[in-house]
Amino acid sequence: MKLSKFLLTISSVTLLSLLYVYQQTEILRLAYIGEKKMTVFQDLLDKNSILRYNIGKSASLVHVASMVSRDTDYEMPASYRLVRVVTGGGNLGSNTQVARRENLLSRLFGIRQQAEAKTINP
Amino acid sequence: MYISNYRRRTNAVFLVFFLFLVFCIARLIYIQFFRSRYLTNIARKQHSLFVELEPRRGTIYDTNLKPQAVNIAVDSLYASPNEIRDADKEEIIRQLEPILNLNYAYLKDRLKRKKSFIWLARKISTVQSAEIKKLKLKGIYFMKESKRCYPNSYLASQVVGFAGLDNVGLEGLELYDDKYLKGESGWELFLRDARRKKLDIQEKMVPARDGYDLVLTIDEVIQYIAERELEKVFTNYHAKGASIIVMDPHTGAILALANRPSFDLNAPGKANQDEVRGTRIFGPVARELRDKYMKIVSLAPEVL
Repeated sequence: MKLSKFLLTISSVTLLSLLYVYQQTEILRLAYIGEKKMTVFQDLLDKNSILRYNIGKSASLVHVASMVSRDTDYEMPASYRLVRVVTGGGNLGSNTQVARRENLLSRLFGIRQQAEAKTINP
Repeated sequence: MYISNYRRRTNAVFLVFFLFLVFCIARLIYIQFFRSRYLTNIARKQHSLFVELEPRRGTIYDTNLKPQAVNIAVDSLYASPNEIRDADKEEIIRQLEPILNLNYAYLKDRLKRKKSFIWLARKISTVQSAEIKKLKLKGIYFMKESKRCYPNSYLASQVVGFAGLDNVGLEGLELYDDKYLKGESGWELFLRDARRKKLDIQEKMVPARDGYDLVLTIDEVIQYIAERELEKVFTNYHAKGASIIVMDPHTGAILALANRPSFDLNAPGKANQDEVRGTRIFGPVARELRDKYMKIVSLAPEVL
């Protein structure tokens, strides 16, 4: 084998070896970067799932209902609090007549001397 | 005389080196042909990391696909007592005690053990986790785990049931449909560097199979109304127990199923036996109903 051919072979083998080592170090370098990015990505995903759960919990019927019942005075009226509104002139006239008759009777016999009202929040 | 001595010494040195060379070659042959498998295994263990992949437990939805049971990732706290100096242990316990709400004796007992891994608290809250991370304690580490959470707390608690710390169903549908919900775990073999740090290079991998999602016939809104009315009756009459079932008469699908006394699914440990008892009845009933709608008719008088 000639010296030039030997040197060429040695050089090419060395070059290939160096390329292989460089490739391996690049793989490891990228793996470190990938690992870091993966950690951040996973962390964000976890935070996302926690936030979604918190939103779901806050928007759930149970939570909303407990908030409504705690923070507002709204409640369904009981039957004795309901007032029937009567429409139509004919009925109104007869109602006032009945009321006048009741007033006259109450004045004469003293059955109802004062108005009574039920408080909403006793 | 001088020359013969010189040659003898040279031969002796040569012989020593030759014997050493023979010993080295013999050792290499022994290692290569007789110990290779054992040493390869050790090397593989050192630069490979076996990681078990936890499957995602299936979500339980109501009929409108509103989640009733979901998984969220939380931190679990563990310690490596071998890495902590005895002098530092007291300080660590003093700092962890108020955050974790654990008593002193429990933490001391855990950190006293000569181990390289021991659980301190499983599935802690994000607030607790953030507070402990700020302390930067030596020998105290976190591990991500999946926790089963129930956004509607007590709603349909007797039907849904709950899963334990290891995401294994313990009551209700979580127990009766556990084989569908739990999935199958997988594994990965990662490369590790000289500092035993995991690299994102997978050698082998068997992906985990996530659990199936479960869609119930229960309607969250109807369930809420039914439970609200049931609660009123239960409270007004001071009853020992109360139950309600709302069915769609056309299909036989159960729209709401509730029982009193009830319990919060996010804190099943606080529930007593009477409160949990309903899950053993309603869990299988709701399961049977998916296939055979009319079974409720025969089951109802027996179990309620």
